Amino acid sequence: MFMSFMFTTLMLKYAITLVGNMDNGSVCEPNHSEMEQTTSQSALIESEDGVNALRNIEDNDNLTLPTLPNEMWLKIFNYLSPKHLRGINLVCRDWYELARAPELTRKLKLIITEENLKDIYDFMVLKELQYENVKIGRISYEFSAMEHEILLNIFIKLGSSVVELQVYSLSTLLVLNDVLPNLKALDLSHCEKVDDRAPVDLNKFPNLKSLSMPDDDNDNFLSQLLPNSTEKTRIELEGLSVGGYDSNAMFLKALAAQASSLRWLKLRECIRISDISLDQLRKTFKKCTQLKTLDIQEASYQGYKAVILERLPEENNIEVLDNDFLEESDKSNDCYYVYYDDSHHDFYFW
Amino acid sequence: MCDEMPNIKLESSDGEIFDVDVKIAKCSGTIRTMLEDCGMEDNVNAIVPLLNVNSAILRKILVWADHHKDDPLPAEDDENKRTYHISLWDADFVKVDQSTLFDLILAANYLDIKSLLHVTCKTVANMMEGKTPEMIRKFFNIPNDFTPAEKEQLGAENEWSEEE
Repeated sequence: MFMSFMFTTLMLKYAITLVGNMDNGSVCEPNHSEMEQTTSQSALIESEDGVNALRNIEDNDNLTLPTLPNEMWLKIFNYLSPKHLRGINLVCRDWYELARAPELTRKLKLIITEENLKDIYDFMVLKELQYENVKIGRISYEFSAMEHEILLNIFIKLGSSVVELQVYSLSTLLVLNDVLPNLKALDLSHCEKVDDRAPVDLNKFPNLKSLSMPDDDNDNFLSQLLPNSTEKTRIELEGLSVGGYDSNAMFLKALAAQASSLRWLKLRECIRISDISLDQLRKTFKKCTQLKTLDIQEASYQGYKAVILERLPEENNIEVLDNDFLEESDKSNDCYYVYYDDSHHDFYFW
Repeated sequence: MCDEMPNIKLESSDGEIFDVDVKIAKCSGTIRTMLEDCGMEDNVNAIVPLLNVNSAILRKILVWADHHKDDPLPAEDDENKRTYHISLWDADFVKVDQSTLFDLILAANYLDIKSLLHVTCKTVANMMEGKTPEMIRKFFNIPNDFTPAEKEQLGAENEWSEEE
């Protein structure tokens, strides 16, 4: 059906007429031969392009009804916020198909919980489901082995469409990490426990571009995740979000390893960097030649922010996202949100 | 109007001829490309037939183009649609009935006038916001062609997804 949107703009009007005509032809199967002349609604619904056929009829019979081709509706849907995008697939069959366009579904997020797990599985036995953005679980909930098995079955089908994933438990990620070949953004910021017996291997995600690390006070996560990803693989992160590191050696090491590709760095609450590494921090930042955005809005300790900002090399032109900073320079919150929206768009970040 | 710029003639679908400053006509990417590719820039007698645009819509489009003739050309990758700004003049321009608005969208698309396509599409999107599927069907005259069984399934599918 999407192929019918590929007509050039110059041929637009002709194209619509053509699609309508072809539809009338295609539904002239033995069962629906009455379609040729009459317009029984139920017969129209049998056809794949029922609405196109209806539109053709409207064009002929009722010229006052304004209509738009699907190509234009899709353009319009792109302007809808995710909140308002949610219901459009319920309007009609054409819109249901349109709503599945990747440019639109990427804005929606599939939330899988212990409650809807089975329903989603049952649904996927019958029908295909595609989401680019998926969140699994909730804070402090560990899926059972059986639930993990259902989850795995869902992701065997769903996994290749998933680009962004948030999990609340590393054990869930371990179950799914073989069926997420196209993962670009991984949010582990709410994961709590580290399982030393089965370390997460980021090598499983060769396309990973942004990573949100869990809060971590003793380098457990960092030593488990990032050194692996930097020493043994070609993973080049463009976005990195870290928080809660008491010691900083691993953080700096990770930052240095990703320095050439990193474009977006978020330092969250609780990061403390001892005086000893300040010079090292400056040196590491200097290596981050691609770094465009430093987000320290969630790092609430003012003294720490000042320390970071002083270490930023001026020649890199790094944009700093910081609520307080924005207020001081008399920028409205609107400005900030617009900017954040942009960065989200580019870097698949949170 | 600057004198050194030549005019060209645009013919609407219903045969009306509009004498238009080339600078204004070039707000249309389609016309711009045509003039540049076909080397018609100096041909003052050229008549460009616009088969998909009637005179009422073309007249309106020319008002838009005249107002925006000094705007810089938009970047090709205007990805961040939601953050676009709509000026008061533009918002006022698209306060028209639905039929005219749809015609403007089709004409803006046909003539490749990105700024107008943006404002008109955004306007329709705004009309959809806060409406239930049933209200949207009524508002835009869209027939509901789902079977009851399909409807049930769709309801379930939508409950699992959430906006960012």
